Amino acid sequence: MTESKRKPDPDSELVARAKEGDTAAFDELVTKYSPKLYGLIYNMTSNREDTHDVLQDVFAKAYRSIKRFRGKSSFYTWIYAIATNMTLNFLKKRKRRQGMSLDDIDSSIENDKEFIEITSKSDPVHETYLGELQIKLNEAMQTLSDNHRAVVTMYDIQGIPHTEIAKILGVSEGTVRSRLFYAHRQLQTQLGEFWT
Amino acid sequence: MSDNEKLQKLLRLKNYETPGEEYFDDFLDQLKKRQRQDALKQSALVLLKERVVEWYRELGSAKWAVPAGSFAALAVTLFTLGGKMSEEELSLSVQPEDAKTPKSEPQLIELQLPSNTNSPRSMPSQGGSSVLPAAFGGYREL
Repeated sequence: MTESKRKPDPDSELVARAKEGDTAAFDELVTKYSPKLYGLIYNMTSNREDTHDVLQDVFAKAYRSIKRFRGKSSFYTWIYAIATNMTLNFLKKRKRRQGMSLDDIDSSIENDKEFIEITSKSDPVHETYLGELQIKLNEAMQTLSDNHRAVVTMYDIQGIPHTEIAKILGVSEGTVRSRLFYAHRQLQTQLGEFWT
Repeated sequence: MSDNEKLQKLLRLKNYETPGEEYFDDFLDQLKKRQRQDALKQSALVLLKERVVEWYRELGSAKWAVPAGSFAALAVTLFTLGGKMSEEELSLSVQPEDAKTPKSEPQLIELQLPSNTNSPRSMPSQGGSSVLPAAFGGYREL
């Protein structure tokens, strides 16, 4: 896509101010993107503490690098690319460090107020079922490779289109689609029991 | 509903796994605190290193020119220095080398040759205790 055809970046003003050293502008960007990036990192790491640490690192890095952000992509793509790369690197290190077991996966959604309010409806059986489903979902996600999990998180969970994912990961759209196809097949095998 | 759609519906449930607003307020406070600490801690050297790495990453396909150029420059420097050094080493080593070469023998030969001894060339290898005229204090094997 050429520069002229590209949509204007909705964050350009905040980014320009942040580049000038306006910390309040950078704070606004953090407030805007931290929930989305939290979701991205959490669904890749399945651990809340790790998510918190990586998210802090992502914004710290973005703050240090924002002066070198040239606006070739939108700020949204840029910050997502930083978050994805840092999470993938973190996962590599974590694997080397401990060989993470499924026991380390956080299944604290059962304690998540918002989730319980929306889904439980005072039905203990239903609640138990959702708790199990959540654990199964996380376990199934962890069986995917890091790259496949990243694509599933962005496309299926966060609803980011293929083209945008391709830009974030720096791969072709075909690669994104092929990773999704493979990941879906694997997830369907593991989660099929929940819709039969 | 296709299997893919069912799967996507199931996966979308994971969107509920987000902490509340309070978390994000605290998160921003913690981030600011950390930025202040980082600014104090981070030395100029670390910043420089990070910028060099970032610059190198942004070079794209041209990034291989940097190590290749550095290697070429290093090779040229080593070659130049190496050439100079070997010349110096050579000039320094001339003196001791000369002492061991046959060129020095005639001097010894002249000193060692009494009129009735064997060939001067064979003298040192024949035991070294050969006798020099007394005026020279005897013969010492080299």
